[in-house]
Amino acid sequence: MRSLRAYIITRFLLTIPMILILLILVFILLRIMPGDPVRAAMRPGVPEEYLDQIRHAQGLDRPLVINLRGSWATAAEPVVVLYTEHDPTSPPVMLALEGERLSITDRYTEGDQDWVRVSVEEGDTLWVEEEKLSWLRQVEFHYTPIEGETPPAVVVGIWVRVVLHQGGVEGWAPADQFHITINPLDSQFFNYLWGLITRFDLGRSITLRGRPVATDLALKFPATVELSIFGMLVAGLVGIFSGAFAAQKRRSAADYGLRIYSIVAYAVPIFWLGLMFQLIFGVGLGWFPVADRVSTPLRPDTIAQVYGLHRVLTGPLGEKVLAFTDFLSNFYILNCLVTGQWASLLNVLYHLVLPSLTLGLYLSGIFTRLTRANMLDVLQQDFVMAARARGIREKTVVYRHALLNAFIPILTMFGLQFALLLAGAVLTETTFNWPGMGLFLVDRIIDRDFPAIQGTVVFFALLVAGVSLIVDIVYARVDPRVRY
Amino acid sequence: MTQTTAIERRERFLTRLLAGRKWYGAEWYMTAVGAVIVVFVLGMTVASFLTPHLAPYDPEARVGDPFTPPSLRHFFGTDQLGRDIFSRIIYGAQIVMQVALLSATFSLLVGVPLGLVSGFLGGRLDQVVSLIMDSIYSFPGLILAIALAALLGSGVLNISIAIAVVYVPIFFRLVRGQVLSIKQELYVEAARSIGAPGRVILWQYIFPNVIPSVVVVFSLNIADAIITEAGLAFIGLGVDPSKPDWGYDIYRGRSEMVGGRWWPVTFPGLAIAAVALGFSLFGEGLSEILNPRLREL
Repeated sequence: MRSLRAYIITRFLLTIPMILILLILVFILLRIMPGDPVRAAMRPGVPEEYLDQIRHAQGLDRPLVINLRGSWATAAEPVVVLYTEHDPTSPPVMLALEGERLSITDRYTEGDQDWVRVSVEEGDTLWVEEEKLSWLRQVEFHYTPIEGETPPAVVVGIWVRVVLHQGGVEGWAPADQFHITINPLDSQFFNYLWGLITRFDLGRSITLRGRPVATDLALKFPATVELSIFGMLVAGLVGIFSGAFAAQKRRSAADYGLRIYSIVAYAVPIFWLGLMFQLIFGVGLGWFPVADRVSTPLRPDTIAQVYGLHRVLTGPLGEKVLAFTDFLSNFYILNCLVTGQWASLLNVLYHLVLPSLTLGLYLSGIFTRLTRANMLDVLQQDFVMAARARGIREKTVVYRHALLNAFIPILTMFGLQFALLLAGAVLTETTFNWPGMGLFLVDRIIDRDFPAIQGTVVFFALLVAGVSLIVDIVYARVDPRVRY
Repeated sequence: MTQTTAIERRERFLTRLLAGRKWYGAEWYMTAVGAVIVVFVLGMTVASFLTPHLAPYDPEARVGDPFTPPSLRHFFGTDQLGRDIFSRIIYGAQIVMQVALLSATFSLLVGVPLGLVSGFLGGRLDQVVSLIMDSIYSFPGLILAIALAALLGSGVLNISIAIAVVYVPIFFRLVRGQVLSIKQELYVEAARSIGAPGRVILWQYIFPNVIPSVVVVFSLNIADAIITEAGLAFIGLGVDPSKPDWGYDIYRGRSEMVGGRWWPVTFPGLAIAAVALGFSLFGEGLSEILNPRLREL
């Protein structure tokens, strides 16, 4: 028999092509979209310079898959003048001094003309035309002027030397005035893949001013996990017991009743179920809150605040530990249990009731079915007959002997429903204004913020692949028959 | 399935029903109830296309005071613009059914041939197609549909495509799995041994055996597509904000719920649930009738 380790390795290796295909699919989907994602996210009338800055920051000015036009340009002449258009009569924008390295954002080749469009990065020092500078100030261009340097005498105009802090500026120059470095992999696709693998970079949002998507998801992740765990708990309790009961009373009225229940639970739209709960228990009876994770005054303090970790943890390592405790603090229940904020804990649980009931009842239909089918399998096995033959009470046989043995397959099935759970969580979060990843996704969609949508969808894909990997490994660990 | 006459079957069912707690024949009831709902909704949808007078009021016009509670004049009350909710539900079936039927048909037209060919030919092609399909299948369907709908934009066709992509792998996996097992059957072997070409085997020996389960899954898929369309509309990715649409009407009614105005969200949701339930019952019941092995369980 093959070892567990061999199974784990094979299973892991099989996950890689699946993730890769999903990443490619998501990438293709978001790039075949007609129109410009940057323009889609912005209000009409935003200056072109600003759109260019965002396109550059997003890496959207790179070629899609293979970059043959070059990715870096190093000025090869003492002074290179960069123009607004690929035309030497257009107004000049900035100067590049010999040896300065700029990133290429576009290339124009026609006949004997060969122009490159280059961009300065944040942190670069550059000469800018004064008139242009006053215009750039209006498009998020932050800089500090450097006094006392004389501009190169070759070009006419008023030039200002500045250090760029935020934003960027682009200009055209003939390609033969630069040494051009070509890196074929400096393309949208490979940058996305490479960033994801090496830095877990899920891209940056456009409408949230370039905030990394990963930062936001880390903030929202705990809310979704808490909701999911409690939803699973409800679904598990309802599903397992009703499924076992249905299997025991197979083909009785109760069995068919529960089967109808499982179909109904699946046919009822989850958001509508949530709204009905809100109407009845929130608006009507006023028993439970209908939105948010916690009442604002009772928002639990972070673990660091409670234990005064700010004073203890200093230095770069301390900062990292602090950031991690802040992440953990967003798991409100865990946080309240650790720090003993009981009033907050009660409030958090109180807010969880309706959302987790909604999510749980929606999933319970499927769990009822899965449990019933698995129980029917187990109930046909010899050991059940043996138990019955020994005169053990039917209830004990079904709920102790059979159910415990059906548990492992049931647990894996729960793992397989994880994708459904996530989908349900998106709608539940929208219904209950639950500040999790699903609501984040919906908000980004409303903003038409495609890079953020891409990042979030990729994260969901990774999450699903990771969970199914873990579930399979746990299953293989428990059941030695599962091997490749 | 043993050959029995309808009378014999009914007799057997009745004796069993009277004899004990065991319920046989429930799958026939499920199918029948589902079929009634399905026929009713489809009929209503077609009729609503043909005549503007199917509903008591114009679904898009202000016909009463805003937020009139349900009464005899307005069975389901009026919404925030004073439009009759009952009429909107009748005409709202158009969008939902168009999207559901179109998307299920799209995924069937892509998934079934792909599954047939991939399963029949096997080899490298099958591996690659299966891997792609499994990747899509493993992904949360609604989230994929949300992303696609956000990209493609509104409109019946775009939303249908967004939903269809999610369900292609379901048809693919179903058909491919069946082809793999049917390929081993003796009669296929026999056909092959008398020199029938692959095309004939696939279309005349294998394909007809796949049809029943495709019909079942098609029906279940329509139910799923109805719920998905409503979900998309609920988060603002509707087909057309100017037309009556159950999911979108719930989305709009939601913000007015705080004042205890329950009717603008309740009734469209009931409509979605009823129609989805109809298609589910029909599909589930049918699957048990067509698959006697399941009935033995």
